[in-house]
Amino acid sequence: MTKRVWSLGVRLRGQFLLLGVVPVLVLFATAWVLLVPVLTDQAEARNRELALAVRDQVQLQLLLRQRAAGIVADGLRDNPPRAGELQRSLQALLQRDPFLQAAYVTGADGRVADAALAPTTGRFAEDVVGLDLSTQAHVVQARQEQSPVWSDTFLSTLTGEVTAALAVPAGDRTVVVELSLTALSKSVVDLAQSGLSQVVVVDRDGHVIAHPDARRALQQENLSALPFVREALAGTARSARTNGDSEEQLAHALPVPPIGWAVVVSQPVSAVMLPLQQLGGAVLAVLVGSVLLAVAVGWRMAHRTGTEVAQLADWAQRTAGDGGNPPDLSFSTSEFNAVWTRLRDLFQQLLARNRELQQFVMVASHDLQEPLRKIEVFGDRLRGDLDGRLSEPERDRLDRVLGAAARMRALVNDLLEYSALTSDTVAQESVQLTAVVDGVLDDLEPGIAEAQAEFLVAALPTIRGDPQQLRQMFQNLLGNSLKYRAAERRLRVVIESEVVRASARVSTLCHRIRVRDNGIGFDRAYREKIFVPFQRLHARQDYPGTGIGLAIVHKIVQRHGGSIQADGIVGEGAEFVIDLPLAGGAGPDGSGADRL
Amino acid sequence: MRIGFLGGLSGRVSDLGIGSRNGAQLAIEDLNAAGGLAGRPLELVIRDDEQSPDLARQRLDELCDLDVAFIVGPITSTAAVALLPTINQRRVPVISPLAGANDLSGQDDAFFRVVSDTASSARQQAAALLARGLRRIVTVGDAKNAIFSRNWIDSASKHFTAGGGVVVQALSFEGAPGLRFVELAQQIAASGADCAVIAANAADSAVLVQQVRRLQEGLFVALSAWAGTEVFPTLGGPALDGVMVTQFFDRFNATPRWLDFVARYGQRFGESPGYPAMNGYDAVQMGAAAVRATGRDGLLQALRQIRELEGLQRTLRFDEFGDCIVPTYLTIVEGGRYVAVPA
Repeated sequence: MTKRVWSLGVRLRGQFLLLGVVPVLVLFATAWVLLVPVLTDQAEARNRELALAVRDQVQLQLLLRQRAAGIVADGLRDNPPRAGELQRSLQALLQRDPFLQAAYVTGADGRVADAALAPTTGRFAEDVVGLDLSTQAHVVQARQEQSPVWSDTFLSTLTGEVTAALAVPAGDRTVVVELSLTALSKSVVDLAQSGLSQVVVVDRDGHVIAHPDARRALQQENLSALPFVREALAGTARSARTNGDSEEQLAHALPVPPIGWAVVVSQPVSAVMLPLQQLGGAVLAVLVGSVLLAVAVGWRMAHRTGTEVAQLADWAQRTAGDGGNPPDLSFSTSEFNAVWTRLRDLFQQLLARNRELQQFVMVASHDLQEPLRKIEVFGDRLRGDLDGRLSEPERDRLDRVLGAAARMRALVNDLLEYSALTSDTVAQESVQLTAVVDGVLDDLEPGIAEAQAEFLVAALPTIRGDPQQLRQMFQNLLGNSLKYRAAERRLRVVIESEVVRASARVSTLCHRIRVRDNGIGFDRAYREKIFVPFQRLHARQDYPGTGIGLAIVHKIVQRHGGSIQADGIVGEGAEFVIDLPLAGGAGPDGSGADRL
Repeated sequence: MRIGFLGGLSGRVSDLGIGSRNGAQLAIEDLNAAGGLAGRPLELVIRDDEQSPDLARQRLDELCDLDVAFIVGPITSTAAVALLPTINQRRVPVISPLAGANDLSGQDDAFFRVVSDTASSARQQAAALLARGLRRIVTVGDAKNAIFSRNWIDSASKHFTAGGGVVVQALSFEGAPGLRFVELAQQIAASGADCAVIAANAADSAVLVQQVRRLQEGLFVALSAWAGTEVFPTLGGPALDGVMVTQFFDRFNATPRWLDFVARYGQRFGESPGYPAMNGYDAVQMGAAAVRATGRDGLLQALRQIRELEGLQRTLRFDEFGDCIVPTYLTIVEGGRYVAVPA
């Protein structure tokens, strides 16, 4: 079974998507779970509050008419009116209340004896006089119980509007008023205007008798099929989710005692959950943005990485051949795996060539020594055999041959030494640099004494490395100071150490060792060239040597994972700054950490 | 699939429209409970014409624009006659629960109904009056629903006179505003008739009968089927006793299907169904039968081919023009309720 390998671009886009999308989705899901019950509770509380307000309003409307009719009934009972007075009293009642359509007073037989009709009915009071109300249920009940009774709602024969009649007993007579429930609808509209809730009032049978849209009240839509409405009509307030007006609603039904109606308040679930929908919209926008950003950034980084790795491969290929500077990299690829395979092959080729070169250097150096030795040996013999017979020019030429042979031997020895640094592995021992420097100063003692030089050595750290190579490093550096001292002043060399951040961009710590002298110095333009093998800044006649010393120092520092920089001013002196890894964190006094 | 409903749902005679709407609504719910029509759920789209012919035309156009399969309505004959040109122009099947005007009979059009024409019902009433030995009638018609009233009065008068009776006076009224029932009652009482035949709605009929009987207590009164609503017997107390009311349905039907409908209607709407509810239900079932036969295409042809349909109470029979032939029933008010008149 072949394992599927995803390209770096796909991986990057996938990771960006995960980082951008998953947290947003998790946050949204959490918000959803937490907010839904809160929003639902708030909506139900609003429904209950509004239902209570409407119930109070309905009861107030009914009570007002009950009192008005009661005043007429009281007057009728206590002070029997004279002819015409009752008619005027009923008309005044209608004039005061535009929602009262009719007012009657029945005789003891239940027939209408006096009546007043609102002008809006278009009917005449004399048409009503004589009508028999004795079998009307509310009239019968009011007379039996001697208390006000509201009728079931009905479509008024006078106006065609939904109406409720109130019968108020007045001795053996009865006062009856008809109330247009349009008044209730108006009150409901006023109360429900502030929010998204829809408020309706239903009668005892579940017919809608008050609705913000008055026409729907006229059409007597029936809600008794809804269980929570039936429960409210039976006297128990209930909240429920229901389907109405083509969408799901959160509803609350509240009984209206004593008349037996119910107030039903509802609001669309979509409106209740609007904050979540808005949040969802924002989340969707963020998700779309995240996806687009992830794809764009993933593509961009993959493209850049591919380009840069390809550049790295090209550089490596050139380096394996004739050398070159590495490209600036910030890393990423589209075909990373293929390029990496190519790079690995190139580095293996490079290593093989390096090994061949080292072998060549070793062999060449070794083989060059034998002819050199013979030149020197036979040159010396020749000079001895011809001693006294050579002219001055001939002696001079022979000396030059032998001198050149000696320099060549030095060069070959240095080359071998430099080559050995490349091929040998670096030992990892604990090295006390103070002891190393002391040993070197002992070795240089004759020269130091001759120059009357002053070496000031501060406490140096203990590091892990190759003691021989580190000794070689200081030998070359201090020897250089001694060699390139200024004739006009006493040589002063300072060796000191501190723990610093390796660079401003990283937090890694290192030992920084400074070797500073007041010798002849050098031009700062040669700060890089000074570490190139066999490069010399001065005439051989003035300062002997092959020019390999600082190249060896540079190589040793590199092999210990460090770096070296040189600085100098002609005629004033030179300074070498060496950064070496803490390698275990031991400072000059054996303490300290490897990170700031 | 959308089904339209068009009728007067507000105003003085809205009880007919509301009952028809409730019956249609229950039929839609029954059909949906059985899986809908042609595999699709049904939606009843309701429009109130507020008993205005102009508004009815506007609402009919709205329903057509909503692509309804057929329309249940209108309620009154006057509205049906006013809408007929528009119905035929839009070629939308319209099935009226209650419009029984003779003017609508015998036409090859897109109008259908589940109620008999007015003439046959009025003839039956006239025959019953003659059988009671009544020979002098005064007729009263509500000019606001002139087509129905005129059809009823004309048919009853024609059959009554053919049977040996006399129409001593023909009266009409315009209804509110301006109507004085007392004056109308005085005219009736002064006519010398032994019977008044009234074609008006239940509320106006109740007031008029009471005022007439205050003046002439023994006058026999016969009302058209328009007044035969559930509430009529309760609107006038003992003054309404003995009033004959024609019914478009059998109030005393005890078939299981009808009793089941009564129970479910009561549970759904909190009241007993009358003939508007029954006919609203049957009208939807007629349209549904046509859709089952042909789907939505060719619905008009399918409706014309229906000859029989099992209604809630009885088998509805149709002629080639889609006009319904069903019996009507006679009742008498006694003690605040209807009682059957023996055939």
